Amino acid sequence: MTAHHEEPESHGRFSPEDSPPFVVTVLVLTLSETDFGAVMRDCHALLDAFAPTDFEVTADPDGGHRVRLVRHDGYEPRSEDGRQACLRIASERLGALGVAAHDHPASTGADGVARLCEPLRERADLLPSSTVDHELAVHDPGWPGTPEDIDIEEILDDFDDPAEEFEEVVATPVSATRRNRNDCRLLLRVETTGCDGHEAHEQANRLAGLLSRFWWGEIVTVRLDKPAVLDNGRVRVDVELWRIQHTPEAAAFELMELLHGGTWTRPVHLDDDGETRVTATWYGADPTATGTTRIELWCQATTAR
Amino acid sequence: MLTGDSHSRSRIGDPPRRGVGAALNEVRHDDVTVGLHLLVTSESTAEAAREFGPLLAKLEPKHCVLHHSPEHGHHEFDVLVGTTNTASARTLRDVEVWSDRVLHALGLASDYNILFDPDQGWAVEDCSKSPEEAALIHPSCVHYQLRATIGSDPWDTDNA
Repeated sequence: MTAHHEEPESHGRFSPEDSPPFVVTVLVLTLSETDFGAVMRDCHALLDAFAPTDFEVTADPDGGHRVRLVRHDGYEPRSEDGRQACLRIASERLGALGVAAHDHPASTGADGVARLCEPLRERADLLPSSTVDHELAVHDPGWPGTPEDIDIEEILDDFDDPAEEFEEVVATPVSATRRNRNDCRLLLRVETTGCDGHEAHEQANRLAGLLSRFWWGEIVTVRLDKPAVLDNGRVRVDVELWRIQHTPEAAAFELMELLHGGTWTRPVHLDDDGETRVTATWYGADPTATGTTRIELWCQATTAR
Repeated sequence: MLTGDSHSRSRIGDPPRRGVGAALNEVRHDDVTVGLHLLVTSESTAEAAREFGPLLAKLEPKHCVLHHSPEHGHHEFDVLVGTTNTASARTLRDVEVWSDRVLHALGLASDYNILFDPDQGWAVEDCSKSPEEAALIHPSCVHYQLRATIGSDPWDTDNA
């Protein structure tokens, strides 16, 4: 079977894509096992018996893992309400796991959830050997305040603003440091589509000016070549920058962090006889947009020689 | 409002489910998080766990959800990998290191683009997602997707 099927297939089980109402059964295990692979392996018998829709494993920062097995089961609202469905499904799930329901009578609390603590303690063959404790809970998602509800907005409010702000660059006195292994040479090859040589040169000049101002105090050489018209109609302008006290890698990454709004290919790191060489390409503007200049920037950073 | 067991979509090329439930509150401002989505044709949840458990264990995931899509008959893994409670700001280089780590563990080449969104910051998005490449991960794998971010849920691209 491939995943290309467009037609829904019935597997005799309810899924939330079907019409509601349904209840959610969650079997939660706390394991002392610290190895993820062992957790996956040890849960095999339980997965076979419970046949969950979702199997979730979360690493505990203090060691061990938390495991959740989730199922969805529909019910007929004309014959029972959500609470009754929770109790019935809890008994059915226990029965399917080989546990006599009368030994573990389920009851619903004020939140409408049917909970059973350690219902599988007699079924050690099903539980991973590192199980510390476990619980079975059946929720009616329509019931307010169930643990299945996660307020995404509330969680996101806890995050600080991830936007990074660049601090103003403070100028420092520098002297030319050619042949210094701590310095690097950035070769920026600007290729434009949709503009003539003059405009391409202007774009390259603007880029060189921007970098010179931003890295003022660290740039010792800026060289701009004459524009060259290529066979494919593109116009190429080479820009050479020498930057002090930066490795090629650091210089390349700082350039990538400076240029927003486009796409960078992943940087390629090469080591030629101990000389680091980092290359990356940036595509600006939408290449399919009509009437828009497209800029492609190829950057090569090497140790200054 | 979303629920932790949000409805599945499950077609090749669809983005993974937004927010991998409880793991969201594990993603901190400075943490690098790599989201890995695998679509697999294993016959059962137990079979999928058995087949992919050893491979995913190499990634030491913080969180992993294996979802069965009854209407399409396949299974999906949503895995989160990365740093936890980082004290200092992570850089683009850290994103690259973590993405490479995941791709290399899966036996794939590091072929991806690096994107910047003013609202969401840096993200890595792989560009080799053909079925042939997915099969390199495991014969039962028919599709994969990787996305890495700093300080946010990799699959929460609603504002991108």
